[in-house]
Amino acid sequence: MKFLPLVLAALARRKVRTVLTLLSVTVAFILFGLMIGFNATLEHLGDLAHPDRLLVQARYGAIQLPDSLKERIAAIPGVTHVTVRAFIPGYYRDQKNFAFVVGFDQDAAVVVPDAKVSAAQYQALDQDLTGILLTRAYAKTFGKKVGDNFPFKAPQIPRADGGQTWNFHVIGIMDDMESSPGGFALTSLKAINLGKANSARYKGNTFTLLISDPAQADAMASRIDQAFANSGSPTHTVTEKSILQNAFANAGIDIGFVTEGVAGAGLFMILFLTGNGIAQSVRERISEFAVLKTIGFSDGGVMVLVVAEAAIPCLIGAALGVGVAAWLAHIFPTLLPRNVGLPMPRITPPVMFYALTSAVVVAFLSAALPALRIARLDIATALSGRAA
Amino acid sequence: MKQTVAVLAMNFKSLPSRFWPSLVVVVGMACVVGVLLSMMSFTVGIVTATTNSGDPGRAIVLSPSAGEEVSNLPHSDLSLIADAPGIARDADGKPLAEAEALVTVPMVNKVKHFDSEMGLRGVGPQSLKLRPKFRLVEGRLFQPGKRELIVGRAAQGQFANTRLGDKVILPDGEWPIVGVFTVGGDLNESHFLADRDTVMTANKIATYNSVLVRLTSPAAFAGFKAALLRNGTLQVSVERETDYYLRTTAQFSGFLNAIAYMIGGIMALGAIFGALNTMYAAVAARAREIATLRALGFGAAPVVLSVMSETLILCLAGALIGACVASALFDGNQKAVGSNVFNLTISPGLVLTGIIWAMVVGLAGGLLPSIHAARLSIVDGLRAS
Repeated sequence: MKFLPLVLAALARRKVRTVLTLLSVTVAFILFGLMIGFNATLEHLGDLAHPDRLLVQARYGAIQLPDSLKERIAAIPGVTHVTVRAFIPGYYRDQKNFAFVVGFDQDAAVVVPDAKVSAAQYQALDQDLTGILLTRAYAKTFGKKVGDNFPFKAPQIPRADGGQTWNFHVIGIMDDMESSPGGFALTSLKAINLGKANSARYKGNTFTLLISDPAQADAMASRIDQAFANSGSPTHTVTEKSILQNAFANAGIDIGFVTEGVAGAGLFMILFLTGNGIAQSVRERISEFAVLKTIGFSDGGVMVLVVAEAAIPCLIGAALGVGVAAWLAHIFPTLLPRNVGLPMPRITPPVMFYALTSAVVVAFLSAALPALRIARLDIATALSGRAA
Repeated sequence: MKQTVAVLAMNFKSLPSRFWPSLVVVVGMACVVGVLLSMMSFTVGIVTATTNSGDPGRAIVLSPSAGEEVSNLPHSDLSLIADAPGIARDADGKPLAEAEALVTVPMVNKVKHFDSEMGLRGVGPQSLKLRPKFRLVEGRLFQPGKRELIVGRAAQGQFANTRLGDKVILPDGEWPIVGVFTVGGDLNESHFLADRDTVMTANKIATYNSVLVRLTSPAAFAGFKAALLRNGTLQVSVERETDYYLRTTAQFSGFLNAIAYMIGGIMALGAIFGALNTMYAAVAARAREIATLRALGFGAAPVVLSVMSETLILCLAGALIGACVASALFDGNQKAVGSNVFNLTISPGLVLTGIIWAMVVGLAGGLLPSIHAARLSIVDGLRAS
């Protein structure tokens, strides 16, 4: 602690340099926080995936699965519950307002408990074919409350009445589902099937199912696909765990490489800056360090001084940067157009810890050479002014 | 002018003595431009492939306001469309218009071993004449009516089970790969091609996805489009092929660019603080020199110019290093986005973007220090150690 005033005095000596260094470090850690925080989000989403839940979809886009496959999937040993999920791609009023509208049958209450919809609500949806539930997020995005109309346009789905618009009305608001923070709208499978033209009914949907033994998830996926391989409706079954990974892989983005690469480039950038700053500061104060050593500071003592001088802006910058990153992650969703369903970075305690550890490493690396130089400093040479 | 040249010369001769501080600006800039260009090579690559795929002399006809994958056109549309004015004809006098089908085939990405899919385009007799860049590079063409595939050269780099002789499982059984083709960097090179009617039977589809036509000239488009829209029996949308491809990738590339700019922008801000830091230090180190010049009668402008140009040169050097590193690491790397395969591209235009960013950082980081340098008190400067 007795070192602190000395370190602070050193930092205060060149205020412009200290402030600019602090700002660069802060900026680098804003980036670090956003990138590593995004990784944390993906990890979290991965954890939310239910290990015992599988998704069955059509193997070939052109060959739609019939809803009647539900019973045959349910009959496969190891499958405990199956629900049929319909999805209508479209938008609310204007093409810019893309919205997810899905329909489940009543078994979803068991298969998708995380959707926070009660069995009674599923029943209500089944009885009111124009009824729809919105998540809190959607109610807010679209400014809707119970009783409001929710006209939804889906040009790709042929409707029984020949039109394109589904005239839903909001019959309830449901809690947000953690795995889809952007929100969604829920109607019933029955409503979607009956709304569609005859030729499009009872097919083209996917199946969500639970299995009794999560350890067998991959084996169950291949067992289901094998069961339908030579049928008229071949399937492609995936585990919920693999969906997120595959989404990024199919977008051609090695997300871990990108986030860590960018965070690393930011740190590399400031490593030179802090390293140069501390070297310059030490060079300017060679004689001061010589005096300190003369009055009894040990080699280790002066090294601590140098490292501390590098570490203070690094640590403060890291804390500020990560704080700003958390604030940005908080306000980003309000700035983005609502059809961008990009998950936001999460500044979790491990992310903070990672940031602070990185700051310490940067501080040590940048202070290493100047600190060694000071430790090896020959007092007589330095005091005579010949050491510069 | 003469003063400026003299100051600049002196300035750059003294640069080596400020090697390490200057390196801060160079490395910072290299990181910013390297990251920016690496990320944008993705968009440039996909836009290049998209642009290669479109031909202003071709038009694509789809069902109203749809992408090709979800479009459906009844059989009767082909002859109606082929009768429209403005369509070029082949040597036999047949119109260069062809209906095509596009379906997906589940495949495994062989680079990272994940489940993915490839496009399978069912083509008709005129389709290959519509694409003059088409070349068969291995094996032979599929035979009409037979369950045979040919595969694009680009797809072979990304998907497993795509060599000549491999068998691909389709809904009605195994189809052998009998040939390999290129089509000039077109996105179709990421697909399979096969006989259209056989593909449609296998996938139990009754409607075409698109009709592609070769126009007599790019200028014939307006007349062709107007004729189709006038035809009461047709319910279609007509686009120049180049416009269609740009429209379908615009949202994706716009989103990626926005992320690249955001990350690049944050890093550039850090680089500006770094440049400010270095340049203030450089001015402090040159205080005596600058004061001497001013005492000798040199004006403020040459001093400002000398500090500014030093910053800009350092930033430029950093930008070029960043561009070189990004090119060495990523330029030409093959990527698959869904079923589209393309190469990451660091184009000259992209390097120019990097240089412009560097200049902006240089101006922002050099301005205050250069003004500070010009305002230094001569007396204090001469006393500086």
